[in-house]
Amino acid sequence: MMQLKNLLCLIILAVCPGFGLALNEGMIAPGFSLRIFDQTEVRKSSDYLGKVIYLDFWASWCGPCQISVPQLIQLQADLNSDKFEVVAINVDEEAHRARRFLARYNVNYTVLADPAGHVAAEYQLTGMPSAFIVDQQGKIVKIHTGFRQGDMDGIRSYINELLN
Amino acid sequence: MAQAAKPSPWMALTSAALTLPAFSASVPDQVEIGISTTAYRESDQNPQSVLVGSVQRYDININQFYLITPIGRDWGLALDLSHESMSGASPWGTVSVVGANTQLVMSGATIEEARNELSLGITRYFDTASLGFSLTRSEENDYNATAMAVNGEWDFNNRQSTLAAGLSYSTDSIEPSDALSFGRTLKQARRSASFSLAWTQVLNRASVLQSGFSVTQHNGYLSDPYKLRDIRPRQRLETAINFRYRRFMHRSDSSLHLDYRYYHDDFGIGSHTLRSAWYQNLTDQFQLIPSVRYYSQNQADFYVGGDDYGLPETVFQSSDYRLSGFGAVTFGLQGRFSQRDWSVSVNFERYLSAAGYGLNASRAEHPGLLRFSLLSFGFDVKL
Amino acid sequence: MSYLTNMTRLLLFIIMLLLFSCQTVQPWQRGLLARPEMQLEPDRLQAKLHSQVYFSNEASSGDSEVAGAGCGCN
Repeated sequence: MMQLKNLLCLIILAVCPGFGLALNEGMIAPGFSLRIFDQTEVRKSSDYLGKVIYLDFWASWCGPCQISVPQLIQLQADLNSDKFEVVAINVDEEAHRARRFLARYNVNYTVLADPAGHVAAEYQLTGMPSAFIVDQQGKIVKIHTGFRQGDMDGIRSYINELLN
Repeated sequence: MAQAAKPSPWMALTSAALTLPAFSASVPDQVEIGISTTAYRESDQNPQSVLVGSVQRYDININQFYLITPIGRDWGLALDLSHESMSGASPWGTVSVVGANTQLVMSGATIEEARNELSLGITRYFDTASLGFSLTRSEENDYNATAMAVNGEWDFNNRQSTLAAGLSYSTDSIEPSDALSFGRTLKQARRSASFSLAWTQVLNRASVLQSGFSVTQHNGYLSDPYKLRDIRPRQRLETAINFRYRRFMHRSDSSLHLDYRYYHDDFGIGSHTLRSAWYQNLTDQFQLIPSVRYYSQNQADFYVGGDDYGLPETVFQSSDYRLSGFGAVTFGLQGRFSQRDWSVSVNFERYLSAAGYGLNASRAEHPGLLRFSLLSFGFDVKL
Repeated sequence: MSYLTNMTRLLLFIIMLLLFSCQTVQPWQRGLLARPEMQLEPDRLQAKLHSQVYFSNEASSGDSEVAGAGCGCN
């Protein structure tokens, strides 16, 4: 009897995620309108049309984010910000934790705040961190979940291809 | 005189699977190192309970070290080292006289001894799974053991569920000190094989539950060669089920830990263990962790209060206090100070056991039941 | 041993209740679960130590606070 109820719970959970249409590479990136972290100014997804963007969903509690941040700083520094931007979306529910995390790094890209996770839900993240490489027309060309040592090389070459 | 039936390192390996962050299989992000030093002190025996021998029990100093590191993109390595130095005395046997309390025959005060253990594990991480292998070696002047284990973890259900399985095997050999002078067995060996399964489920954003099951089979020499009269079966089958619950409490910024284990073996021993810890955040950097543990076991089928030399050596018997029916309570308090990349901790525990604390105690309390204190200092850092 | 069977039944019932209450937690909602104090084993060395100490002094084995333990002396 216990096994049956366990199975039921698992089935329910398996079916739950995946509201509506699954988000895949090749689809138009969902629009968003978010405040810049710790500021009142708002950025919209439409502001980035014409540029390639690396949309990175991160949180202070996510271990691999600590590896990715310095590498993203380097990436932004290396590439012309007229053509490419890193846009980091923070999903920390407690802002002070994100603030403490950011204080350790000299971040040279925009950080937006999504504490309620609405945009994260729109983008149907399957893990943390999750990154979406979006081309100049606003189409998702690559979804990258997780971050491990050595991942940046592949990301760089992909972005360079898009820029040329 | 080394302590009886030596520590077998195979236990390390059975649970190696559960060492990993149990609800997601992921490569370690950074190199992590930890060290700890512990003073373990058993309380002296009541002199009236000792017929002959030392009243002092064991004093053990334990030094531990670990290192966890990612290797490349997909691999992780874990190294564990432990060094213990111990001195003291332990019960050799019991003497029961009609109309009087059972008394202990204790060993004499001992020379200092050491035990060293090394464990190395390597894990391959996949997208939502991992597979690891580990090897452990333990050595002491009269005892050594080698063990190996394989363990795997698999995440599913949007990473809300994790299934972990482990298989381990170990061989131990014991060569009791002063065997000839004391008429002890010269050299003996035993083998153990174990299988464990654990399922971890994220219940909601603030709580998680792990349910586990393990079964172990031992074969070979299972008696205590240092006891005056200790004859145990040459096989032992053990099973255990355990649950671990973790829950975060928003209002108090604290976490509750609740662990329960039911154990049963074919020596006739059944036991319950319930442990609870409360992780209270006092500031962003300081945490206080009180804990309490309750344990109860019933006696083994062949347990005897007083050694019976009248029984033939083909009949199982043991007066080891660890096979008697008793209960135990542990009170603990830990303080932890954490910074971004490192933390230090101090932990104190006091363990008290008595027949009366148990749910199914032996009729007469074993005079050798233990009380001990331990004090640990720990430090860990991420590089 | 009937109290044992009753205890087991009670435990299983509690487990079922807990499992039935499980909700979907999205990947970006795992902040609390990621906290060090919410891990199954927040302190690796203490866990090994406890496992060894209790295994040496009691008859039981097989995971309680254990995560990688070492020892067995009964």
